[in-house]
Amino acid sequence: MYEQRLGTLRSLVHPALAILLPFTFLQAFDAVVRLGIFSGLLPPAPTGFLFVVFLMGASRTAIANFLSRERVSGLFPRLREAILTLAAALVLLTFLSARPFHGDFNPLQYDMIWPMLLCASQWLFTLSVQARLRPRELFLSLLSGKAGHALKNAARDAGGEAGEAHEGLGKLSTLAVVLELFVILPYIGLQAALVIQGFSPPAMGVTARVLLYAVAGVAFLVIMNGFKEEQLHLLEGIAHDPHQAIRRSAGPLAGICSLFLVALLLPGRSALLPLSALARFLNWLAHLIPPAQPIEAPQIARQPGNETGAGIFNGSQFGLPEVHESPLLGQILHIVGIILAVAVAAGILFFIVRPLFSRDARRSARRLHPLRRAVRNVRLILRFLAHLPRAISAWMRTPGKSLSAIPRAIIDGLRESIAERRRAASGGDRTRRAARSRAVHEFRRLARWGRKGGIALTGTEGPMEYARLLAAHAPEKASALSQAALLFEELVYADAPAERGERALSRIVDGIVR
Amino acid sequence: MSEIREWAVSFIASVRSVFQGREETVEKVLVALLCRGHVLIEDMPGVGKTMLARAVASSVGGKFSQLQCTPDLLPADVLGVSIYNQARGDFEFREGPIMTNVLLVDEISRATPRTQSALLEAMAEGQVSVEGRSMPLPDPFLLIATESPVESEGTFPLPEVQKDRFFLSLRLGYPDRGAELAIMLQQRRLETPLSLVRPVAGMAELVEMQRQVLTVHVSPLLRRYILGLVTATRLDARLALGVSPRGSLALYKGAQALAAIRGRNYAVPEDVRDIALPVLLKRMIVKEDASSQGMTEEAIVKELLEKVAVPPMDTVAG
Repeated sequence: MYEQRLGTLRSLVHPALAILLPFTFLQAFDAVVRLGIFSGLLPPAPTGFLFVVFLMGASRTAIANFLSRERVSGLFPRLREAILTLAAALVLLTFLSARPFHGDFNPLQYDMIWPMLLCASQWLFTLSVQARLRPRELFLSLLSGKAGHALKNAARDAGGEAGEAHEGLGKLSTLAVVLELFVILPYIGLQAALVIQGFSPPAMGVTARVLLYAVAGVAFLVIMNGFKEEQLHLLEGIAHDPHQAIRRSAGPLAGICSLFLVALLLPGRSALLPLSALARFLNWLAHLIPPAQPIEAPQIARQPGNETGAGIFNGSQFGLPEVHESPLLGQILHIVGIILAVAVAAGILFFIVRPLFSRDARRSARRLHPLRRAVRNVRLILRFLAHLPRAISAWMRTPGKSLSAIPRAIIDGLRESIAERRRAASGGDRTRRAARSRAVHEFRRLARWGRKGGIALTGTEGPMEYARLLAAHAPEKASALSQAALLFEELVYADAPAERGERALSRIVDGIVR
Repeated sequence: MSEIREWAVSFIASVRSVFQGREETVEKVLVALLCRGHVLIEDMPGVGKTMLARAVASSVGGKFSQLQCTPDLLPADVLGVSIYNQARGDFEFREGPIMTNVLLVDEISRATPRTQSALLEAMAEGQVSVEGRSMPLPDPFLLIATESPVESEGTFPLPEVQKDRFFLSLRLGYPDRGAELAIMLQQRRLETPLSLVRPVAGMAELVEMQRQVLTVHVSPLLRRYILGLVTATRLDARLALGVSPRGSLALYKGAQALAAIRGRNYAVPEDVRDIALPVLLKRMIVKEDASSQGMTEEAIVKELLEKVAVPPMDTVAG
């Protein structure tokens, strides 16, 4: 692990990911929204507004790195930053609209609403992506300057950070997939609706913007998977090999580029290569081999106004002879072509949607239940309001104390009440004891497995120490053993252990002992 | 606790940029800092004790003072003294080097017992009393005392009961080959390596982190384990003096600090086991007959760590 690479990740790679994923999504989302029924409601945005959206993301990453270096954290600095950057974005958008040059300096105009919403979304998304990538930076910083055995031990000692980093990467993968669906499904639906209604198809620019996000989203998923794989290698003591990373990325990137080409080639109202042209090409090939009977070009449904089937690649332009066409072969080719197109589309959809059904995504979906989140947020706001008068009166009673003591007191009060709530939610002592005894039962299974392998638990070592002993003899299970030990420690020694942690522990132990 | 974790990583990296010793050593000093304790470093000359203390002070960004102990050092030289100001016609109190955030007391065993008491009393009380006036020490205050085990002539070794006041004691040992080569390479520049160390935290931040460490949860099982270890020292026949309640409290707080440094808001047995040796080492006295057979405090602590059961691992083992 090299410090230089960590520096590159912190200053270049992670900020780029944090900016580009939301930006490509928002520009595609903007295109789809304007394509749909909102096109009548949305006034045209100022020229170059997407540049302002991009700047919001870039400023967020730059300020985040600055705040991190200065060790400034908390809600208020970020709130101040958000207000200042949004105000700057509003000023910039106003100037881009050219209204000030006509004497109108009022920034509060109707056509500013949508671009400002996009700017705010870019800022929030970038903040969220960066927050998810921070645990990975912390994990890698703990391994910096180490190699071989020392790297392996350090990686295992940092098992907690590895778990957090892995969770963060999983959440980002889920986010990328969800955003893909937010763009691609409405786009397909709207395009179908337009065609059915007999309207003209969307301009190539809209399709290109949607495809740009589709490609970016897939590339992002590939990168996240690469990060997760690298993490697993680090836990085995194998440091990052940049050449291997490039070799590994080349395949998926080549696949993405070819998918891009396939997408362009798909038939449509004005497709670059319609199926009829493919059929004519096959006919021409068949003509080279003396046929037993004449073959027929496939019967492609002609678009209105295009009954002759003339397209860009009109066969007569290339001097292809007219042949007598067999209806059966034509139909077969037609069906094969449709099956191929559907298979490719299904494959792309499966590849994109698959992470949604992973264990991480299911757990996240349960936690992200909208109603539960909404109730939790309302409770947090009410608790904040409840602590405010207490904090102010405490401040007034203590002369000479600075104003910053008020928010600090509120945050302390919120922390305590959240911790109390967690303790109550975990059901108090009885539930905790039950969870602890289940955890002990699961670890006992692990100890029995270890004893069979010649590593008996004496009862004088800690859980992580024992897990390391087992991992030394079964390195392929090192990661699972580390996770099991961490989960056991949390269930037994923590004040407010993870909900249903004993189930997760049971699953991990199942995976180890089998 | 992730903020403490991040800060700890930066702190350790900052100190290790000039101190080429082991990472665990710097981690232990950080534990003492977060627990508002003091450190006793007992080791041979020239292994980097002073460098470590200076690097810690530079990384914390507080005021640093160094006190070179000699047999003629008086308590007033440490605490401060009132000097008559002729121009004003009254006495003016001049603070001693103890009025600082990080105080390095070099060769504490060369100071007289009277001066040692003055220092240790200030450590325990957190304030100094001079001419009937009490003055609180700056917050935070970290005292790092060094002692060389080889020189015994003309010295006043700290009694074991006084060593109990230190939160933990460390032995640095000789650096490994790679570290020693790095030390040589560091000296190629004219400026001292310490000039490159930048503070990684402010004083207010450090005080806040010390407060947060106190909120780390220590489960009843772990408290039982700590008491089990400490009780074992009191019942061990080879020891003339076992660990006092001050020692069990230090072990408790040390486990909290180590858990916070590792990013957790709860302590685990590994935290207790990792901090046990430096915390308990100087809080026991081995009997003469055991000592003559080569038994040391370190060996006893390691043996007890292998013997005392970790709840609930003893239940798991069956």
